[in-house]
Amino acid sequence: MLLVIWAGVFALTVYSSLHQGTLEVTRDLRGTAQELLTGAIELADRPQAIRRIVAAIERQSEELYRESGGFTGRNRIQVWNGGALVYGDPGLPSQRPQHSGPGAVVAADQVDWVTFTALDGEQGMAVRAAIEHPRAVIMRPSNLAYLLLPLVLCLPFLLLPAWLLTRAALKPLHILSGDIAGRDDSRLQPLPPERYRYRELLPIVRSVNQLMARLDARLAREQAFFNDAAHELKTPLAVIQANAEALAGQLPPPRQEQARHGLRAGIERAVHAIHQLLALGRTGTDQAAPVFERTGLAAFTRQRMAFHAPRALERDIELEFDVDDEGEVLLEIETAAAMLDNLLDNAIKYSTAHAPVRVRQYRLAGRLCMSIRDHGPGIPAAFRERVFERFFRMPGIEASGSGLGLAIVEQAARRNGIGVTLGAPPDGPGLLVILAFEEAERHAA
Amino acid sequence: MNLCLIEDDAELGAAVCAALSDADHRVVWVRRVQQARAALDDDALDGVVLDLGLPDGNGFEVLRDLRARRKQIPVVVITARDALADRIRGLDLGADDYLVKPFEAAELLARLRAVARRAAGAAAAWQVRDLTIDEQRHEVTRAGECIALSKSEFALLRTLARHSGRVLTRIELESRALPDNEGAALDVHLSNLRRKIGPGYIRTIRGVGYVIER
Repeated sequence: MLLVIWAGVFALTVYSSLHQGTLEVTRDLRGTAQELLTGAIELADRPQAIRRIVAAIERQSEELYRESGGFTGRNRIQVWNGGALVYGDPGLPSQRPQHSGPGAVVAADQVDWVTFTALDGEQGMAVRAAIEHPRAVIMRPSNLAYLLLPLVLCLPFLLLPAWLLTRAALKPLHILSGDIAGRDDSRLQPLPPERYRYRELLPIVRSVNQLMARLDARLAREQAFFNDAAHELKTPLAVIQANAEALAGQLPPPRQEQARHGLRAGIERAVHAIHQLLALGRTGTDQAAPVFERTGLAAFTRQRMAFHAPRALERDIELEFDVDDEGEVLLEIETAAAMLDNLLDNAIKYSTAHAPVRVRQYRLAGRLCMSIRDHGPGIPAAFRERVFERFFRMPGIEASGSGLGLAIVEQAARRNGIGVTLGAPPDGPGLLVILAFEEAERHAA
Repeated sequence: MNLCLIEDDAELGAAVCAALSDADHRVVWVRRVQQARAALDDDALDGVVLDLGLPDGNGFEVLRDLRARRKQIPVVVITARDALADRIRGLDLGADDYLVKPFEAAELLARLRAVARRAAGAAAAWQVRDLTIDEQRHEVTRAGECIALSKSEFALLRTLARHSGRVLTRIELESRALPDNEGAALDVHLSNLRRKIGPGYIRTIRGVGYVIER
């Protein structure tokens, strides 16, 4: 801003010097030309004398020019008698001027000259006095320095107060940014708003404090989750320990078999819990942005169902897949597989034995959907939100699950832009899960 | 079999080593990449069990080096990493099979047997309840009684038996057993096969695929 003002002042100075300079120069030239014309008429028949006098005048002005340090222009004079040039610089135009008055010409060496011509009609005498255009004079380095010097000298006086003012004005902002930068990751207490004086800063302070509060709450949740997870693992370990100790002792064969079975169940449960924790981590919001792949949904689902089918067969549960529409979607394979795996696993685990688990893929109002229907106890409407919480277990359901399955489903679905709805099947007991997919084309758009 | 076990964890290494020895394999157990390089130079080796997470180098590198020198030797990789991407990477680099920790010793032994058999290219005989499928002689018997099968029917039965207990989707089954057929051929051959071997062996998972239960 200061620079702009400064440049403006400089331009104004140059302009006024030019304008004023041209006026003054023209006035001087007019005097010189008219005086010389009078003299030249007197001496019309003595060209030698004219030359001598004019040359002397030119020499004097040249000396003046040198003394002034070049801050005036150089002078040139031409004298005509009739059509002939009696005296003068051939660099200026060589025709006899036709009119009296001011003018401007460009000399052979590309220098602009301001001229004034005095013309005597009767005698046929003419004098053209010329002086370098003030523009050329001003733009000479020595003259530029003369013009610029005051401006350069005043710069510090302009800048220093401006700097001091800005500094004082921004001090609260500096304090604030210092306070934020100086925080380490364990200090999430709010910033004290009264420290920063300006009302304008309060919205920032408030937003930062809100962010800190959210982070604090999240860290507390993570810490609680960490504790829950560690405790959750203790239970299967206790099962393993109890059965391993029993096996190490002397046991009658039926008890041995029981302990072996218990040991295996405990290990399975611990392994399952750890895999679920890892899956939860992979689907979490801390992960890098998902990388989607164009995937045939029916083929993908078929693979996941094939993977789960042996366990369904063990429980004599019939798995079925009906496809109305093969569908193509963009999926992050890893997390989408975790989602389907958990839904299928739940359906097979909770369904009563000998009852079917049906998966259907269809289109509803133009949207690709999938339903998974089991014949288990279902989820009462009151719990259909809470079951997505981590480690939430439905009261009254006896299960060896990790309590993380639906939390994984929810996170994975969110990553893949899939809507998940839990409901009751219209025809009898069980759970109906409906997934609504974003299709590949719409996803990309 | 002569096996090389590369596992840095002392307890897991000891347990796996013992389990392999109990199954009458001769095991050289090494715990560092450096030692592994020396041990893997042994030409008498029949198989390798490799842990990918080694303290002085990456198991993937050992695998790559090994594959560069000995293309045929069967390798079963064991790892704690269970992400799909890790598995695919392991198989891409030439592991024959992939086991995620923790695993049962019996599972490791079964996988080792399977990869060794595949590497040797030996034809095998499969047993599904009272059904015997002899790959070498192209012969199927039920309770000792010979059943005549067409080439496609035999290929279907062999493929399902090889992966018994696993559901194969239609596409998997077609590409493995009937690579030259198209369209409804699978249904025709399957129904003929079922008629010949009798009901109850091949189960249909509707809309998904087929399985022979163990």
